[in-house]
Amino acid sequence: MKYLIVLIIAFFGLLMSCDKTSSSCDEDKVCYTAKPDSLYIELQLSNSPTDEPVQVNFYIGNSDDGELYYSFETNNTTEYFLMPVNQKYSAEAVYQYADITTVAVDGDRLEADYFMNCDQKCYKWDDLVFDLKLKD
Amino acid sequence: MQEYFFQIRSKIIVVLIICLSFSKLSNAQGIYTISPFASNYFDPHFGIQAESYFNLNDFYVSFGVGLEDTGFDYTASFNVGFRPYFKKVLIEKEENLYYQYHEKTFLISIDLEKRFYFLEYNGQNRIGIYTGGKFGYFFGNYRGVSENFTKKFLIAPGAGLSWEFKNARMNLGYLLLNGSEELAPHMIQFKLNLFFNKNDN
Repeated sequence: MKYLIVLIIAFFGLLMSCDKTSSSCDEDKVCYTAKPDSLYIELQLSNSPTDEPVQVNFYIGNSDDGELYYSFETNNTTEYFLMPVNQKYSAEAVYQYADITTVAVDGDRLEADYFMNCDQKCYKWDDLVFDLKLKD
Repeated sequence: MQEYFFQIRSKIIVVLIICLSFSKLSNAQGIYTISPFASNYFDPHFGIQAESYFNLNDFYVSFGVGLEDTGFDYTASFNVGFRPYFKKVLIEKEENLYYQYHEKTFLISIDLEKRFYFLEYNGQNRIGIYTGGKFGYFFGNYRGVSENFTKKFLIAPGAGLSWEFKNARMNLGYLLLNGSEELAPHMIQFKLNLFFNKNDN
């Protein structure tokens, strides 16, 4: 019975700590109350295995059934897109090495996340990151 | 500050669980051997379980509910397991063409387990071995694509040591999980079971 009580306390403790609507109040915390219409998506890329630039395809929706929004070549390891929120996006990076082609894919929904502070909704302006780097 | 208190609270809970476990063992009146085949009565309970199976490359958590029989010493449960993070995997689409995806995988399974206890102390605490398996459906979820590349039915056998208390059990052993080519199949399995309505008789 003792185990059960400890585990129930632990379970509810974890639940309470995860509840973002339970508002603490820190007057010094920076709070953006305006909901953003657009946010940045950061594409993280590996250096090209050859001297050739990496081909990048950016999609609205999924990469296999979405709409191709922009396609370009780059030697940079970071690229940014400013896009409207509440939409799913994805990207591909095409790496060529000898005869081998590796296509790195990532995607997610761009949303304006928030936290509660002093009973106010504070929106986060963090970038959404697509990790298109090749695995080690 | 809130994160600091959360970390302290988590550590206290873990220490409490370990202390409660070892206090049972230290109060033992003596350990004696029992026949692992002597159990021959039906003693069913409702049970819940939390589990982790992992190796150096991968980590899964699983939760389940089901039937615990502490008479014949077996368990039948429904479990949902998943890798709680996305992992980069390479999938060969054609010759010399590879796709790298961020993959999260799930295993929905019926788990069957049989235990054989050969040591007992304090009348109701037992130590032995377990063997069993997961019979289920393994599938993946990939970021940025709608397609699902990993989906299969599988059987994952396992075995190891089992330590049972009055209302709880800990298992530690080996699990062979042949989920996908990317997944290293040899895993360590750690399972905590709780069962209810068990009286002293």
